[in-house]
Amino acid sequence: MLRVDFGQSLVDHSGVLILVQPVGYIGDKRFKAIYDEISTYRRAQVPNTTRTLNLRYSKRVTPQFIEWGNFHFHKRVLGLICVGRCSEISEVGKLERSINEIKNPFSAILLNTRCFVFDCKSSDEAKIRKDVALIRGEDHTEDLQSNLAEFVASLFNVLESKRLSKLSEKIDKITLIQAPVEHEVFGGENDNRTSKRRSIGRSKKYTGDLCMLAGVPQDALSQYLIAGEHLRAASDVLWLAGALEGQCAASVVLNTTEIEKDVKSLILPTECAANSVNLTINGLGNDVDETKFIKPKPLSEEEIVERLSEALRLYNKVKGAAVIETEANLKFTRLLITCKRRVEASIALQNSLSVNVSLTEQEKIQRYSTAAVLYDDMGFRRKAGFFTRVAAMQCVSQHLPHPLWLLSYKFLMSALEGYRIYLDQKDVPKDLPNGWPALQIRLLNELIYTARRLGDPLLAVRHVTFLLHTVHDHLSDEEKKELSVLLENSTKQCAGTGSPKEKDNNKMDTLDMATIPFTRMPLVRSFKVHPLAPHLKPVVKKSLVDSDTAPAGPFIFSSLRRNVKQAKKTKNTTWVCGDLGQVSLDVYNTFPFELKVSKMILCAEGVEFEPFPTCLSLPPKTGPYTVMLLGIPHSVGQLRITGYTVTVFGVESTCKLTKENLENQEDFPVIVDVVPPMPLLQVSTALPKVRCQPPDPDAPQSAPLVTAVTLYAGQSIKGTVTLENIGKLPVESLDITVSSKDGERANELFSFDDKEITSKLPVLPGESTDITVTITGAHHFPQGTESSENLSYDPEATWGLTGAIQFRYSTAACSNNVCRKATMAIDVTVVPSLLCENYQIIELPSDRSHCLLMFDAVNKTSNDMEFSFSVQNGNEPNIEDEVFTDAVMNIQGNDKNRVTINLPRFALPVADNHSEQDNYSDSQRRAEYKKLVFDLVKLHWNLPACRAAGSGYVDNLKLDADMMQALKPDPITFGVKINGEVYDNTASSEIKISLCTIVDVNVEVSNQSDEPHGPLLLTIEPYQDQASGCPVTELDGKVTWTGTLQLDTPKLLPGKSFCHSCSLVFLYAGQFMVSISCTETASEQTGTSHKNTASGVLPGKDRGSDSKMTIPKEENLRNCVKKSWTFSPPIKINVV
Amino acid sequence: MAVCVAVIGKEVNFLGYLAVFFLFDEILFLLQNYPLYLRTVSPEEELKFHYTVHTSLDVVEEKVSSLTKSSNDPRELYLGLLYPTEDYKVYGYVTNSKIKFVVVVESANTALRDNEIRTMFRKLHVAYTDMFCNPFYNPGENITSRNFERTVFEMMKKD
Repeated sequence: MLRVDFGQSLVDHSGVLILVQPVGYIGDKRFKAIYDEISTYRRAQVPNTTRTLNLRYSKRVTPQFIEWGNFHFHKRVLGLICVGRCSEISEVGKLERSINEIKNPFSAILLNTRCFVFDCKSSDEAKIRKDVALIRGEDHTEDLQSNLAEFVASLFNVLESKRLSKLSEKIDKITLIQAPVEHEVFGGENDNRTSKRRSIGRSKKYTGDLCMLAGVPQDALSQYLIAGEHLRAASDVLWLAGALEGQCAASVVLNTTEIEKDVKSLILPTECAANSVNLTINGLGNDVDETKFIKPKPLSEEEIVERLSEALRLYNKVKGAAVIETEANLKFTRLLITCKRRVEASIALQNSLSVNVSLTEQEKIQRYSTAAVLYDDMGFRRKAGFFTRVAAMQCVSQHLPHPLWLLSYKFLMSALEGYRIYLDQKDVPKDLPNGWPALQIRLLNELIYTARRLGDPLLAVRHVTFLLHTVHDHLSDEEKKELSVLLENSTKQCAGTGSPKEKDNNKMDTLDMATIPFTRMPLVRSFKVHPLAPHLKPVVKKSLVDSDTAPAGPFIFSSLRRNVKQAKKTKNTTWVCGDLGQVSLDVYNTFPFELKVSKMILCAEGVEFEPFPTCLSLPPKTGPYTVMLLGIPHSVGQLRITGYTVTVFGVESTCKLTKENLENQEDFPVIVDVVPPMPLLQVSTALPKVRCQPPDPDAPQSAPLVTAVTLYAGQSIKGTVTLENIGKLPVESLDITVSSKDGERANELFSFDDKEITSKLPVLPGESTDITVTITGAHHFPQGTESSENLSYDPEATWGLTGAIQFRYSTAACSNNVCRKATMAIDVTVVPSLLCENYQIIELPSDRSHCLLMFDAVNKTSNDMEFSFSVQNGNEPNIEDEVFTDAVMNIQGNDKNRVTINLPRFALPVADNHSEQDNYSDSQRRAEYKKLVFDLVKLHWNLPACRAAGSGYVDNLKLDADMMQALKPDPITFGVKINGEVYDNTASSEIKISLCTIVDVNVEVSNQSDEPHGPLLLTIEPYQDQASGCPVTELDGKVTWTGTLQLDTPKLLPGKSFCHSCSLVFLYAGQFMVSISCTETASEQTGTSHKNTASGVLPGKDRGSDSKMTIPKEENLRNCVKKSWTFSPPIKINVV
Repeated sequence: MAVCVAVIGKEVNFLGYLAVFFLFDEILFLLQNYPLYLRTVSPEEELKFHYTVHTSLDVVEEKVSSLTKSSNDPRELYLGLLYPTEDYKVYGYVTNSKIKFVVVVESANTALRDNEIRTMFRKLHVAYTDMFCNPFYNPGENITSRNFERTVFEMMKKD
């Protein structure tokens, strides 16, 4: 303890001070352990009484400390414990000298000395001196305790006897006790009355001190009170103050009823209890009625404060009592703190600091650090911080011969809290102004300076970086630059001294402070995980893409629905195990110096990840620079990117990723799905390669490989696509799709043979396989030709598109249905070749089963074209062998030829269910017909000069109503029976009958089409063809008949038929013909219609045999469209 | 007259209101105090006054907390003498919105009575309020208003 005991409190007035000192060789650690053990015994219980002794221990007491021992008895060193270590008993003697050396300065006041010797093997106690105690055994607790108790008991005995003798002291024997400042002042005035009272008072104060130490605070209080009375009367200012202080101390001790729990108590031997006899107090002097001070009540808190402040005022008046005053102020402060009167406490503490006392440097340090601790106790953290800092400054003041840098550093570190500097960044609230920047900067700078003086550059580096990060906004550019230089120098030193971890061990424990992440060096923004390049990117197989679950609830849109966001969240980027992943980020250097980042890597967890370091150098105050950080995931799972590690100025720091680092804040946390390794195909083709497009990450459609093909319309070529497996896994499934940005017709242009593809699988690593692609130059026709005339459509124009062929491939082992895709783009240009136009379809009167298709075949090329066509059997399109081919015709370049094709007439397959007969609308029907014609007619062309051949199509054919009529087979068919026998007009040429016999004609008219016809007028008309081109229908008298030759029928539904029979009798021999025809009167105006029923007169003379349309002469039917069907060729009857 | 005038920012409670009830003592320490403004007569002594004002906040907090605990009455804004040092006296004033004004005067200047200090604070408060009415001022920013500055300079150079 120094001269001024800064740690004192009022309770210490009752403390018996014991000095503990090491002797001989024991070692600091061992001694400290023993000291700590001894100092746990802070109380000693006197048996059979309620008295307790308070014990105080100290390792170090300067001789100046006991200077005031006379004034305050507790400032004396009463006991000395020497701690030594000997292996042999003989060595104990050697310790004696050093014991004496320690003892000497205190020999006048020491009550007893004891030497505890540890580790001594021999147990021969007789040889050793009385004041040496051997502490034996590994576990020496018990031994130590008993020895200590014995020692304390001896101290108690002396104290007790002193107290008793003092109590029973005769009044005339009392001598004046003097405080250290007083020795000259009082000399010769012993005799007068005042000095007598003074002597008595001082003696009482002394007795009170003894009582306090001996554990009888009650007695002590009464003694102090008496002393106070006497001294006040004698106006002995210093001692009165002492007595007042004593009264307060005694009261405090009396008031504190609760016993500190963690304090071990010694039980003293029972013998000492015998000595503790309570004596009645002898009366001393008559001026004070001492009886009223017997068993006084302890002072209340208010009184204590009042009296102690009085004592302080008194001390202040006395010259040279600064030590006592300082101590009293501190005691007062502590008292007020326990009373929670903080403001007053702070004033008292401030007073103690302003007491003008000459202190040594060490005392100053202690004074300020004590002040700091006390302020901290008060809750005045800022003041505490301030004084901690002052203490730190004091440690390295120029007056000290050896500046205590380490201590100073420790003080500064503990001062940080008071200035709201938290070395651990997680304690620092974000985005709030925190503390007092001007002071923080100063303190941190001091810390850096101290750290450097300590010779620990690493520590300095940490503080510099901390300073740069935390108070970044408040630093000027100049300061930042200085710091950067400092940082660089320090790190260089660091590098020289080897790895920092080795240093950690021998340096102090302060290094375990949390490292500051270099989030500002550099500043990272727009952190973004890149998906793999299009050809490496795994895509989910389409078949397994779940359709969105229909939202539950009646609303189409609800703002309460959250699944949109959830769906977004789950969309992670996917990386492939073993393939390089990329993360881009923007870095800014906000510092006015060049930032050299020697290493920057990604930190990830969840998946084995191999990051690749990047090196950066950022010029001062610039940014953003986009940086790519790379890494390869080596296992499958969810890769969580937690942050990045930067090495700046040789200091490595790991920064956690926060939301503000990210480009898209919703991506937080950054998770990348890593899928199992996948094969990798390289696509090449034998087709001509035109350009090599760089892969554009923004457009997933873009393909690195582009080929171009020019074709004549109708021409088709085969190309070879070579797939080379450059990955490490076999390709076991391959799926090819064709798409195009330019239109939907890519599927017409490209075709693949699925069987060929499956036969080529699997493609093993390192191997390659060829796949054939067929590219057909489709004619360019606008969509939906029927309804809308596309004006911009030009059939002669060259057209084309860029088709993208996607190869989706994966291994079979790939469980989660992801595959890679390779894309190949083919530019196809289609040049017109053969164009068909000016279509015409006419009926063949001679052959009802066929019609004629005529069109102009135009050669759009400049070369001669060989043209041929073939028609399949329309009624049985499945039978391919019934194809007949016409001769090859030549068309010159840019010329045209009229082509006539004999086309079988055909009907659409009748729908199964008649109720659905109306399911074909007119346009649909036409489209169907067109398609069938298209299928039937195959055109082939060949350009010998170009060595190109291909096929043409009649797909620009437009069917109008006439064409349809010609194309369709007759809807009405006739079944004719002559005399009961079926008459086939194509096979049997003529029927021979004899003159004047009855010929029964039975006609069955049936509707073969899918739409109803009628009402119909059936006409049977015999005539004579005299080969004059004009049939003779006026056969009056030549033919007679029974039944009607004309018949009106109602509407004839599809598939229905009706029969009519009549009989003819030919009256002359010769060639007769019978024509049978049906005329449809479109409207049912039958009421007024002209009907020649059984009139014998034949109507409709001038019907053209080759025209199927008849416009009747009758006026009343002129508004009705009439269609008629004829049984042709007519029936020939030879009458003989 | 005054040698240093300082305005210290509001306390920001970042633990939320619940914590106030349970951790009142803790909160007091965790609350933020941030200098919005500090002017001294002689700029070279500024750091010293930074220390003085900073440490005075302990007393301000102590006084404010003891006052609010004790009574429900509208609080007296003027806190009086915070603490005297050898050369200076430090006075404090806390607005209802917990903005703190600290004025440091020289101890030697005995002419200054409590009333004059009060007037000084009132003026400062008015100036602060005027400054705060500026719609372009964000609470928590450092004060750069010229009018406010002028008032402070008047207070400092009066004699």
